[in-house]
Amino acid sequence: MNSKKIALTSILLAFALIIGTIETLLPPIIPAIPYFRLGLSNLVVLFSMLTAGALPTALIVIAKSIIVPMFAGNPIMIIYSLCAALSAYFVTLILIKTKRLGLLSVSAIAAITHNVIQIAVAVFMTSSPFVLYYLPILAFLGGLAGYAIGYITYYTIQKFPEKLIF
Amino acid sequence: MNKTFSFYKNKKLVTTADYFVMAILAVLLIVGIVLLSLPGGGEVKIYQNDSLYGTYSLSDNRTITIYTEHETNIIVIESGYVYMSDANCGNQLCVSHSKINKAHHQIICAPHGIVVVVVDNKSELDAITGGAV
Repeated sequence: MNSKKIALTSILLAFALIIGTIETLLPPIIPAIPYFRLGLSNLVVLFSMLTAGALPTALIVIAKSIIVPMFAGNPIMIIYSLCAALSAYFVTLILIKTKRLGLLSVSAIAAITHNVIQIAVAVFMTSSPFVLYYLPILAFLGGLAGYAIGYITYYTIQKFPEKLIF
Repeated sequence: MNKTFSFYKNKKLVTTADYFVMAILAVLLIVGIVLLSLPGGGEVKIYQNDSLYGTYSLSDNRTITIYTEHETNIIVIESGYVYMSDANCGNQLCVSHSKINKAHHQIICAPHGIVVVVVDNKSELDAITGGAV
């Protein structure tokens, strides 16, 4: 990594932490599923994947999954967010490299992966399978949030002044 | 200029392959709604750290307080609904959860390992009697 890339990575990480922390402070969007969040900080992850590259994005994902739960005063959530975010990261990486799907689908599939892994961890941690009833609707909502993030990222890279990052 | 960046910049927003993903999402939505709109349950089961804490009827109003060392959870059953009225956990997600009364709906307090789940007592009876009653 050259110095320009290190600077870019740290700016993007700062953005991800701010967005992630603000999101945990907001009240739940759906009262019936209060643990559902949009995952807006993944906007930064997807953007970073396209601009900074795979390794800086991995660092952003790991740092964000550890620091945001600590900012939110909920260190037990590190296990959930780290497992889910890393799986979503690898799915995103593979889909971005294969270049078959557009950003909308890449983001939606990554979000679905995130939610599925998070539920798998919840089942493992609480060893109660009840939460599996929420799997389809959480996967759907995650996909929807993923579409929103893919859409925003798509238009961001259309308008972004490339001289700033390359 | 980075290759991946320019590829996705020049790619169309929606391509044919994206419709498959949309179809999967539609299926997930339908399955999700069906699973969570099954007919109402009759009983509430409360689990604490994987073991059954107690089973209560949804038709009797009552307040259940689970108290262990520094952890408190107050669960209220009121006019056919159950909700978490108070908890001293970190994220307060369980308290912000809406009231539930349908089978398989659940309120989870992850920091304290508490799961409140509505079960359909009819199907449990069927499981025991083999549907003979």
